[in-house]
Amino acid sequence: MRERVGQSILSAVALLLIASAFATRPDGDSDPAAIRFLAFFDQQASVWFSVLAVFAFILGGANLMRTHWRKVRDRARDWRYSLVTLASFVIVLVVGLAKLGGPPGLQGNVAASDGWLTAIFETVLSPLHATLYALLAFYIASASFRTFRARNLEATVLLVSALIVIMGRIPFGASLTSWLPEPFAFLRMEDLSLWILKVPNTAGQRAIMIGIALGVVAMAMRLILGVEKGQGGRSRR
Amino acid sequence: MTFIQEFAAALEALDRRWIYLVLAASVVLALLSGIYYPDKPSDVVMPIYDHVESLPDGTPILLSLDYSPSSAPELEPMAEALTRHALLSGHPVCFLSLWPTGNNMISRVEQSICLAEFPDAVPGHDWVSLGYQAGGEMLINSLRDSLATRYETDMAGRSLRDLPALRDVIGLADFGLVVSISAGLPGLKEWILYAGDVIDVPVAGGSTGVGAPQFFPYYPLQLIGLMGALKGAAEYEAALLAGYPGSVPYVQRATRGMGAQAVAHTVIVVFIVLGNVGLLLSRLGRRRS
Repeated sequence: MRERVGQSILSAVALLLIASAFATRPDGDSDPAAIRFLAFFDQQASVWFSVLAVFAFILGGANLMRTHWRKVRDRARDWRYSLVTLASFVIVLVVGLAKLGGPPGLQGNVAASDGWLTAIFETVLSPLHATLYALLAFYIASASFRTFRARNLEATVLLVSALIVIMGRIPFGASLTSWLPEPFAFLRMEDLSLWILKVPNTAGQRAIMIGIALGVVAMAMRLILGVEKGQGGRSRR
Repeated sequence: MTFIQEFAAALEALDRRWIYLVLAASVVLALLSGIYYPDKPSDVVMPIYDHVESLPDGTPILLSLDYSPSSAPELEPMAEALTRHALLSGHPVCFLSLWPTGNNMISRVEQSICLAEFPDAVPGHDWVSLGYQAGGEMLINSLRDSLATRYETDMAGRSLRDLPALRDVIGLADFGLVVSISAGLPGLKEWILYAGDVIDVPVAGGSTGVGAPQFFPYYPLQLIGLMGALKGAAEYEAALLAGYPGSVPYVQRATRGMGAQAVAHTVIVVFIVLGNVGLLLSRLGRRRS
């Protein structure tokens, strides 16, 4: 019975949302009541979703606390990292919720540029993010050296495309082919690079997108019709 | 073992730390020397510039900063160039974000462009910062019909009704252009699907180099223009420099960054070529032996 109630709510909400996507936007009270209801439902569902998203933050925070607290308590492997995670989480949470360090005094505008929260963001989070992302450049350089090898036809096509795109994105690459006369301008490095992105890349991306979309439709149909039993923590054994 | 075989073997077994060292030294030298290359806008970036220019005076532009500090070096120059352009051409900018780190990213652009370069610009009149709200694509869905359903005040606590910048704005359709500077999900894709496709508001975007290829299928029908990576930002800066000479810095942030990026790309290409030379030589050596 409990499963049927959940399934009914899911199917009803999904069908209403699908219908609202096809309904025209109402201009005023003169529109049919069904159209106005669908537009109203679409708006309300968006707000409900956002409320649920906020609760997901709370659940996520609680889950993070529980997981890392257990690691610290049991002195599990790498528990010191968990301690750092817990301490950082609590400090930022307290500063943010209690609006500490924001002008004019100890408590105030938490988003102020000279507030504690902004200081934490600029001096801790921002450099950490930047450092981790910057390391990617080294890994990409090393991976390019090891993997972009013309071992067979497919690898050669990949290698040539990659070289054109990389060189087409920098002025040095563009200057290598800038001498080409106007009738052969399409062979200039920057134009070739853009062509690869616009034509072969778009074709591949579209194929992937259409494939994924068909998969999503099929999955949605299974959920709406109650064939898929994996949601809500219950699975068919 | 011949010299060629020895050389090929050395290339094959090259320690990755040498690659790291050469790359780091090249980038540091490029940054210290201040090397830069003037760029020119491509036909994927130029439509964004042209669209902003074609908007009637005072038409607001929505700028969604959907990224975090990790991708800021690549994406922030785009946000700065667009804000600079909007303020120069008299279009109020409305900042918001689908990412929790958005408020800080908005504050940075406010500080570096709105306050530093346009001291006469008035918050609430020339720009508005609505900030971050949860919900991703569902936030966009809510804002389509009315901004007031999700935002009662801006980040500074001013009521939306009292802001001259949003005087004629009810929903997303009242913006002259929606631009999402996006590092992932939710971001540009959601703005295209939930705003541009539904209410016909023009959508443009900026994306990291890794993410840009996935947006080309939307260009030019659903996406009027796309700034891909730092080069996209440098191209926009070049268009801005050509359109407003003397009003914008000659070397802007992305153009400066492109110097180091060009050197890094060249180093990577040299290593790729070396790797393939090593492969070729080892094959030749095997055939001979």
